[in-house]
Amino acid sequence: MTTLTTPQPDLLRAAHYPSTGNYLTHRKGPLSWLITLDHKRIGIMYMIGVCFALFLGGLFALLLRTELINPTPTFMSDANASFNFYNHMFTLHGAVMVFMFIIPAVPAILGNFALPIMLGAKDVAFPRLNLLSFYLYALGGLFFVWVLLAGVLNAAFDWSLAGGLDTGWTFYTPFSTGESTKSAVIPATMGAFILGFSSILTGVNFVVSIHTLRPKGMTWFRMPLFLWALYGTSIIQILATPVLGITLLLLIAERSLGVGIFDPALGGDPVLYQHFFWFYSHPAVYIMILPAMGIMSELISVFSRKHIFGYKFIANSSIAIALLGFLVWGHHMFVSGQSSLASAAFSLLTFAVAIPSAIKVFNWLATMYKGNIQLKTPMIYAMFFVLLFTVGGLTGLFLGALAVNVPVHDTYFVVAHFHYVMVGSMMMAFLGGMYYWWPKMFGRMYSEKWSIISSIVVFIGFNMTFFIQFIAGTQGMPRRYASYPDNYTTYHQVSTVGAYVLGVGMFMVLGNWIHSLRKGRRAPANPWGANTLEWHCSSPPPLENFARTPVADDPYNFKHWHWDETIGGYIHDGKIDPPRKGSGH
Amino acid sequence: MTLLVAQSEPSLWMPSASSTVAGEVDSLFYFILWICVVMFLLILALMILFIAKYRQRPGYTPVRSPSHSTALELTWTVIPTIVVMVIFYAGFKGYLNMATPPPNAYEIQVYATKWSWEFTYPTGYPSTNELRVPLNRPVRLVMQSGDVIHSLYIPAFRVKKDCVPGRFNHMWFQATELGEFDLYCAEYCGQNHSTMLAKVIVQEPTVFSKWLEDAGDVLKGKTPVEAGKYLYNARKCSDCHSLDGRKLAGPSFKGLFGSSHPLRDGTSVTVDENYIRDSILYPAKQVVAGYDNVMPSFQGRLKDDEIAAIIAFIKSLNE
Amino acid sequence: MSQTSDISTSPSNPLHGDAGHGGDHHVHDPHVAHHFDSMGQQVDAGKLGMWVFLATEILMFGGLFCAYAVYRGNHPEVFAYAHHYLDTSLGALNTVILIASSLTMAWAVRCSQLGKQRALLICLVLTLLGGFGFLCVKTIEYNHKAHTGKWIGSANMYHPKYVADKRDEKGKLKAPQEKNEANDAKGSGEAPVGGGVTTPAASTDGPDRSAIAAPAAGPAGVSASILDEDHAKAAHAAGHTMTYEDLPKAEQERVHIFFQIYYLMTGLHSFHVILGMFLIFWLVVRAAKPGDRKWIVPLFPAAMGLFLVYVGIVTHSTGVMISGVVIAGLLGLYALWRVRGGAGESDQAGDFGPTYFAPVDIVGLYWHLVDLIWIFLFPLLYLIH
Repeated sequence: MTTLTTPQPDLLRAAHYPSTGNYLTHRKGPLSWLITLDHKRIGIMYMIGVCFALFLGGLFALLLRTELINPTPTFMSDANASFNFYNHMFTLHGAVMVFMFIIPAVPAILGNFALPIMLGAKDVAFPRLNLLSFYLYALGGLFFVWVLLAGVLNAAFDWSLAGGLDTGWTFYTPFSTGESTKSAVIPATMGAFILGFSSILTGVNFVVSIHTLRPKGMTWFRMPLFLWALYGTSIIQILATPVLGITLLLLIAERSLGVGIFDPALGGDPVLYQHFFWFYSHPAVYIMILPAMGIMSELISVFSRKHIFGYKFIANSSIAIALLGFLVWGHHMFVSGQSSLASAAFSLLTFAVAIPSAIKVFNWLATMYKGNIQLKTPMIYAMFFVLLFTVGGLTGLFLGALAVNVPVHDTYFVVAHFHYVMVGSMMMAFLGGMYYWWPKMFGRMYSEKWSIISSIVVFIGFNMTFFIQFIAGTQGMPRRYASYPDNYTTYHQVSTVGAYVLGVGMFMVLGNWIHSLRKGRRAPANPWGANTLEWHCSSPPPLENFARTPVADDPYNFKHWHWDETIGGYIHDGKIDPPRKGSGH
Repeated sequence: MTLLVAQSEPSLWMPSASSTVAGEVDSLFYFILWICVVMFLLILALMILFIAKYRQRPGYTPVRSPSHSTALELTWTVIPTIVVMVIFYAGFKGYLNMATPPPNAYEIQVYATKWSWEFTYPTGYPSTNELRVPLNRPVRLVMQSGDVIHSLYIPAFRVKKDCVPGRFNHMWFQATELGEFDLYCAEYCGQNHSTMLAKVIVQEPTVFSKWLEDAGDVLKGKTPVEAGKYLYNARKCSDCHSLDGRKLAGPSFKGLFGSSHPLRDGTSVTVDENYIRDSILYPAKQVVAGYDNVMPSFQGRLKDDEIAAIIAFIKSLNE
Repeated sequence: MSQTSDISTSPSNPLHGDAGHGGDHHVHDPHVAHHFDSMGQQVDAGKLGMWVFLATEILMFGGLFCAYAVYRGNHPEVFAYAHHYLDTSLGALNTVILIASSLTMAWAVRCSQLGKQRALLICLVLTLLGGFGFLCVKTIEYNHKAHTGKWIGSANMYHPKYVADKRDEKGKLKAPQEKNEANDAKGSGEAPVGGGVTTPAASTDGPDRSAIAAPAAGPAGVSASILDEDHAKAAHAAGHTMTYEDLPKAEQERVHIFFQIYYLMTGLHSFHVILGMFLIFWLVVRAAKPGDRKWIVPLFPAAMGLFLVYVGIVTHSTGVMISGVVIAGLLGLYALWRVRGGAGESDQAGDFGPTYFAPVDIVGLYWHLVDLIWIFLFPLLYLIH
């Protein structure tokens, strides 16, 4: 191994200049990527896969919005074909976005890339498992691509391959098990099942890495909050995903063998499926949002140049959210006929989970108070995140309140609410995190001007698309409608235009990244003056990150990093505060 | 302020509030909305203030400030806790009201199938995709589904409940306004989910009972062909079977009678009285090639003389 | 979590490792992966990883246990009625087998820690045999149900869409003594779940139950007597008198759900047993002397071939039997041929010893979990009335 790590006589100094033998360049050729065990390369491969999924899901979304631009069928004159097309699109949009973008995005890309370096480790605890997890992701993705492709071929040539999917990403029984849908429920559920295992393996890796690989000086309460968030996320991945797995297996058994556990015609209970499904899929919402919150804690502290406010509250609230998130699944079934008592309990717990989320928002604001705020791109995204998350979280109050939930359940209000949480918040955090770690990943800076402009376009597009949907929802517009009564036309048209703006914004982001890869200025080791360990090694990091396990400092102690104009980044003054007992605060 | 208070007229946020529970739901809605607006503005204002005041700029030197304050953090833990508990209580109270029908409620059976609603009144009269109810009288719906999960949703009444196959669900409402209101299916149920719409018509009780009496007898005073045509529209055969030869979810009725069709299982059939009767009662038995088995059975939902009328109507289309 | 104490830190620069990466890092045990600082850390990570994975497994089975609990809670009569069709004796036998294999597995861990190479191998092989024994018994149970119309999905006679397939006919021809079982009337493809199904038939000449529990010698010995057995009658003899008619109409249609849950739970469990057997075999290979591995490797697939032969015999399936014979024969011959190539040198040791036994430990954890799940499945499915 020694040959793979560039010996660096004075790492402290050398770190501020691009190293020659970094993880991107130490070996060349596609094979060196495909069989790599390096967590950073696996993270980059995930990035390519996830961005492809985002592109597909986004494309479906634009098709959906275009279809809805007027109340009658838009693409096809034949109503049935048009409805079918729409139903397939919204199903694939949901399935691809949830299983292939939102769930893996932050943990698999940014987590894989940053977690081991933040721990001062050479790799995650189980590198081979990590690679396996990536290939499972790719395999699961292939199932979805097959479902999509076969659906398109069926439509184009009137073939009857097992393809297409019109059950909704939730696969509700008995619709998904009945003969009425000829769509490829089994391949799609197999895909989701495999993706679930990919997610579990990542979770196992992260939990074990955090437990066993923390360096000297990094006590539990001196861990970067991003790691706390990933830890909470991993717990959910480990404990909730297997339930989805078994649910999907039951669904497959149901559809292929007719076991009837969920089929009322065979004595089964279709609502049981919903309980199973949401036992996973509600915690899955926190798989999406927790890492986003972790990124926020990093960004807001770093760009306010101030220690994060209330470290322990934030860390504990991550775990509280992860655990409470397991107890609220029944709030998806308030109108399914479950007992009032059950509904009351789920409603109460739903409100309980709102509290740790609120705590985080206040803590972030308090971190900015009397700081030294730098409005760089990641911080802009962080501000957008806080605003959109506030809207997403507050609108959750309407849905948690039983009496209000009844009329707005399964309407566009819900659609708007979860897009504010999952796209508004999670994607803003994802983009913010990508911009934040971009220099570390690729050793290049990006155009600050274009990234800020594109972030504003994304923000405007997003709000235009989804805010109006709250009103459409309270006015009664049900979700998953391919056509709709005329009185909702205005809402839909505004929303569709917003979706195009959002699409343009996303392409601007992509363009900016590609431009940065080719033309960007060389990045210094620490362009932001952050104090988590990844900023202690060069940009991009060498293959094994650190020659020797480093000793961790308080991750939010920025006072030893000083701006150096000549390299356009921060340099550490080499001083170390005497280790303090207990928490970093 | 008309924007943010409960009212029965349609507003920016809400459609008309036309049932007894709507007022309560709207009050809670606007209460939460106010909390949200205040909270959001507070956060926005603080954020802008902090950015303006503590932005890195020449001449500004930040002063050290604490990074932790238990008192402050407890404050913003406890206050939201109290607020959400109040909302929870109000929401639960309203939900219990919606779940508990008054004892004298007028009961209507609902049978949801892909993709239509059938409402059966106490007299046994079924109507399709049209729910008539008396004004100011509690109405209790007993809901079933014949295939997949549907959800009955009347925005103006602020009520919604799933129709789950294999079990009965209930809901109730009391309309407080005359007129026509939309009824939607809110749970995705397949291809034509978005056309599974119905009308709710609220009438004066006297008008309502008169209508029910008249409507009870479909065939009276009509020739079989007229009655068949009436049923064709009323029972929504028209959703899937055209009269002009267009191919919808099912074969067109035009020129159907006496024609010969290949079936999905490879055999073929000539359309006669028996085949039509079988197709209405046992639609899955002989499905014509090129079509999916999507038709619900009308067994127990159409009487023999009604089926005869429909057959007469289909025959008449050949002339 | 325990921080292993031997992480050395450079005195000159506490924040970063210094340059001497190549200099002193040599002492690495070949079994320690490069990204771990020490064996202790690696062992901690491996064990924790397995525990976390076991949590995943428990939640996965937890889903099925929930389904079980929901149906049992809502439809207790169905469970009370249908569980008599499970053979308690065979279930108990399997419980004994698995507990015994857990014991040998624990013993294997101990042996590896003490460096007793030979005893380790014996314990692992015994554990593996336990796995095979479990599968053999399960085969008898599944086969009996499949042949009496109580198979999975719509091949279950209580299933509303039941169509008796050919296997049922054949099964009855081969086992005519089962005609006593009133349920078999339905097996001949008449009306599905209709009337006329009285389960525990009146006859009281049920077999001597103690005779069934006795032959712990080996599954092969049990099979003949069990196939003749009428479980329902046995249940009746034990004093349970619930009949199919006693069930409410709606519950009658749900009887098949019990079997579906039974197959899903035991099927998923059996799959885990098979997975565990692969892992244990991997341990056997590593525990063996390096020179012997070349002939040990083909033995496991050969044993799987033997198992197929057994399955073929039990299910009267000639195809399965022949393919089993072919696999077992070819691989057995291959192994023999490799043995003649020369045995391993006697001074070479297997991989495991007092300083390196983590894989045995970790696979052991997995195997114990598989056993533990069965310990729950057995009373829940077979015993509780």
